[in-house]
Amino acid sequence: MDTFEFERPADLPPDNVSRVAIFDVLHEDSGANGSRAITDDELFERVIGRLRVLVPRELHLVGERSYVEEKVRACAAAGLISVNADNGRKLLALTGKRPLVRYPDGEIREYSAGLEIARERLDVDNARLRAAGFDVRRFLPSAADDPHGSTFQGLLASMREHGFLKQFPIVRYDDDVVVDGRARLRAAAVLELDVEYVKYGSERERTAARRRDNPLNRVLVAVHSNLGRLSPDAVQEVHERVAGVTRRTWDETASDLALTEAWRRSIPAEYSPVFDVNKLRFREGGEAKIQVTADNKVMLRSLVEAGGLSNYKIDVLRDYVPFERARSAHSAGRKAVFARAEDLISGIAAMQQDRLASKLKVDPEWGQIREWLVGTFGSPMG
Amino acid sequence: MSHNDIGRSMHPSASSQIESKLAARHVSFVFEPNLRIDEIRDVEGNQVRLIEHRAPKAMVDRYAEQMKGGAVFPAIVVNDRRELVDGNTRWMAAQRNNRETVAAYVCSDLSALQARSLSVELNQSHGLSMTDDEIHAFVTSAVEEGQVLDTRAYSRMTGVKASTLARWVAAKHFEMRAARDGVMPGRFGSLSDSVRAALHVAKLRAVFLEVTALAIDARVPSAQLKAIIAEANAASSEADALAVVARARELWSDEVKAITAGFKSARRKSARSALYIGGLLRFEVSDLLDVAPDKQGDTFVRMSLLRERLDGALARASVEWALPKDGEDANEPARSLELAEVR
Repeated sequence: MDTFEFERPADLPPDNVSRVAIFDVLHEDSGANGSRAITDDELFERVIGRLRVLVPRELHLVGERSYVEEKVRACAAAGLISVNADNGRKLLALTGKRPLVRYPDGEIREYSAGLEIARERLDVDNARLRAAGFDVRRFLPSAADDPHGSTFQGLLASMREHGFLKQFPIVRYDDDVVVDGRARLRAAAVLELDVEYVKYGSERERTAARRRDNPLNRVLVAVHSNLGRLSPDAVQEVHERVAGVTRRTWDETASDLALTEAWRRSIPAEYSPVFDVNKLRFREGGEAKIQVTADNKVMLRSLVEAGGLSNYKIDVLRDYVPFERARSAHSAGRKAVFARAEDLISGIAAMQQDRLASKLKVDPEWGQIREWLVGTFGSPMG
Repeated sequence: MSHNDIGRSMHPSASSQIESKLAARHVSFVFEPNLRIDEIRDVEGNQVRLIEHRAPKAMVDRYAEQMKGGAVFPAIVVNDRRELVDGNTRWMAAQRNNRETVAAYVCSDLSALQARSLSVELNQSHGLSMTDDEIHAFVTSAVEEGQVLDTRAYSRMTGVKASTLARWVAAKHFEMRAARDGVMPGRFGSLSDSVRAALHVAKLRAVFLEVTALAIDARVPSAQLKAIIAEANAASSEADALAVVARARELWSDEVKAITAGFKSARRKSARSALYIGGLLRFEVSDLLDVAPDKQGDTFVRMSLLRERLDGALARASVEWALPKDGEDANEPARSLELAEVR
């Protein structure tokens, strides 16, 4: 099996996962004086279990011993470990250089020892909390718990005076759960005020919020947002409840959260494909404006505008045609909506039928646009 | 999860099956209809099959032809670093056709272990499913890594019975425990998974070691081991529990000797007759006399023959067997009978 040495920081070796596993094993023995050297046999015993999970096929094909030896050589060649002979044994130690990993935002950074294993432990914590139906709200006091109490009555008075302060919107998760702002929510319901929820400015922000949403994150949000009013005992109580479900101490979980913080905060960039397009004419003698890819994807704005409709009319197709967003050389750097020609032909027909059946207006231009599509790309039925 | 750009209509490459599997695992994902093929990275560990040719050429050829003919395939699955998680054959077929993009589910924040178990699950639902050996290798290595497997969920994703998965898991736990307690792997190499799973149930370390030694020395089947271990686990003290195992070893001493001497222990004929004797003992005299008039003659002859055989056997046993004298241990015959039934 070939090993691959990276030359530019944009590339990582395909066996990076194994190099990281070896690095983690050696790092476990590090102390204030740096890495303790271990023999190649010790390394094999300690890393093989993890490699059997991570790269079973490679181990099966190359052989476990051979594979580990090969990766030790690769790590040494990359300067991650030193290999010294000692009475016929090989002694391995870290050099101080760390392997690189690609973070979710696409950046390649130095690996923090134990990061991968910490992420896996947190996955297990979250899985256990989900399985147990853990709801942090049950363990955090809220002014809404006592609607006749002075705190809640004070909140009511304030909101009666000032309304719902929209500059402090409430975070509502996909499952409609609110972990912070429960008292304001209840007060708004009592006073029949409109509630301001957090709105996401882009798909990327929405995706990032979904990505962050897991039981441990809800615990952190609930505790951190209310830290000012919670007693240390109340916070301790929440942590102990979490530990009771995860079957390890909160300190251990907190340590893994700290280790993975940079990773968790790294948000993938929104993907932005670029289509190569040609421009086609809508009418004989007209200007070629309709952007079409080699595999017959049509940029909708250019199509509807060439057909004589306004850009916003694209929306009527949403229920009928799968949209794809991509940039092209002519989209001024922004993403434009594309759709496959055959989906447009069938989708426009379906939209026309539905609107006619519902006695809704159908712009006659849609008929001309569909005719152009059939004439240019052929009928989807052949 | 999100369908982001696919509008409210389902994109032809979107797969509700894949989406439901990702959702069940709480994996956040984005459907990307046009992921650039040259951005996809093939890394070690992405492929769950142990076979050398991970995307068989014939399959790639077939997919490529179908793609050329306009067939739309389900989206492949990658992580947010564009490392392939599932869809080797589709990816290679798209490359074969010089496609620049392919539809993909881009999953966020998958750990290497999550990616691997997701690969296993997706692989089982299409393409060449993993063999039981491959699934066994994956499950046992995950246990070795300290993962807690939900056998019902894994059964759903692999098609292997939950009871079989549980046995594999228990057998692996036995191996790890045996290694921790100093039992050399070479000693228990011949034990079946079901025997290992049975042994893992032993609670006390001393009992675990003794009963493991007995299982190895006498090749005790798992059903009998379960009975011995259940009795030992129910004992009120470690000494009592060890006494249970010691009695079982005594009962299996012939097998231990035979195996030590290098012989495979022959199955005793009494193993079968004990079942019938046990069955007969359930009947009172009145039960044995409750016979239809037309069968009474025949039954009388057969019971007489049985008495002759038993008389002969008892006469020889009293001479040949080293039986305890009266008063030596009044409970011993009853206990021996119980254990004989267990065997």
